Amino acid sequence: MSREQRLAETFVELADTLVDDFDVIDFLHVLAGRCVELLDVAAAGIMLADQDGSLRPVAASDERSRLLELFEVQNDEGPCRDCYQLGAAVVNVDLGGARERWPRFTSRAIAAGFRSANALPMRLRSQVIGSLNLFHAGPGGLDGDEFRLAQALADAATIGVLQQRSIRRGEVVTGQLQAALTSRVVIEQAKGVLAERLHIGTDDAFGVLRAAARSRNRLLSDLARDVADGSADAAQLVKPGSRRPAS
Amino acid sequence: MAGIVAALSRRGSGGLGAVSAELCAEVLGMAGMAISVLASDGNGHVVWRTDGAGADLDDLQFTLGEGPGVDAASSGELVLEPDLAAVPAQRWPVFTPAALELGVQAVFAVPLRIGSIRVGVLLAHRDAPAPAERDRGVLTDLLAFAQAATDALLGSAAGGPEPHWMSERTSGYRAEVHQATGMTSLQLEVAQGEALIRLRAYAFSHRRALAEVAADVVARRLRLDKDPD
Repeated sequence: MSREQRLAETFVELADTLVDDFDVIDFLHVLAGRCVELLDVAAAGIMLADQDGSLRPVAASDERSRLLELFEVQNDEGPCRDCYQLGAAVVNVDLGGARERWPRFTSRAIAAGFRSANALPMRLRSQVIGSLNLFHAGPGGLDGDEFRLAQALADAATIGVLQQRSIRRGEVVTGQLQAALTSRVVIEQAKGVLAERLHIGTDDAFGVLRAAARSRNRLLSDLARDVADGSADAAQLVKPGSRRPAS
Repeated sequence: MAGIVAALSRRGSGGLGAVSAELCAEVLGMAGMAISVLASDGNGHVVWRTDGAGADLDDLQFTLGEGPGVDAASSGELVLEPDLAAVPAQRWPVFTPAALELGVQAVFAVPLRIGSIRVGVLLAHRDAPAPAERDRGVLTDLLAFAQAATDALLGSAAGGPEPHWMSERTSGYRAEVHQATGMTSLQLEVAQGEALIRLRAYAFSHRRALAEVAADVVARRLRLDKDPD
């Protein structure tokens, strides 16, 4: 397969992240591997920021622990940290001259056999979610075309990650909405059951339900569900309940 | 139309409660509209609607288990029938004649989704033929409204107890239906789901609105027979 074909294939796979049910973490691993192939770098890694703004390594082109440590230390210092904070690329930094700038990162990177490092922002408009880290072991670094390509890959991956997050969020909210709706329906049904069983009005039935829930230390919606599906005996509810120990 | 979308998008505006359903219907050139949300029990529950035939159409479909909204909810695809009378009989054999009898001439059902998650359905209908100028752009407007409504629905639902507008709008209407369901389930000794089906079937066969039948059951003016009619 030619480089162009591989490149095209990579972008098509990136587009797949826009549909749901896509394993983003798995894909980021693939992306890291593709960066090594397509950009002629020795190693690649992707770091994403969590809610606290800590950068966490999410995927790397190989799993050697040395490489992973190299990423981990970058939560405190290194090209990824700088890139993330600035929201701008840090390119072709010669590690030979970087000891003062990033002491711990540089010594680990050199020990791992690298000579230069790059960090490109994973960013959509004003939102920076992490950084793409690229290492060279040989002389030379990213040329203009490679840099532009690397940024394009990072941009496409960013959209995929954000889309997946938005879908997850939508799922959570929809679930909450549907649950709230169902619980309201069930409470009304329980009022009907009690009204019929105890020969009282539905407003009084609600009073019985609420009092029973309180005296038994149970959630109203939970007790309502038991009443509606018949697992709680209505006649029992009007008797004063023994206090359940609070769980 | 832009004003409606803007009102729906304003945060803290109260979601769908911020816009009058009648106004929306008028702007979109529809006689009635209803939005139902798919609950965890798989049933659709109307949370917003214009008065009159809008909600009746939803009831009708639910009783019959067929119709444009049912298709949209299960397939996740748009259902557009600008001329209901021209729809082949086998598509909705019972729904179509019943809807035509209610005066419905066109039906449109838009599934409301986030990604592939089905949140609910927007059902709109016309009771008069639309002038040609209205048809152009009606689809775009419906889709724009559907998207804004979905966002408003989920936005106002995010992170908290049930949105207040849902209680105000629906408790007067649907609460009695579910209370009647509870009573009927005990009277007929059946599960809640079946009790609701029996109530809807009774309403349909007696040509009455479900809400009225429910009110009679709750007031103890009506009690369903154990053996169906």
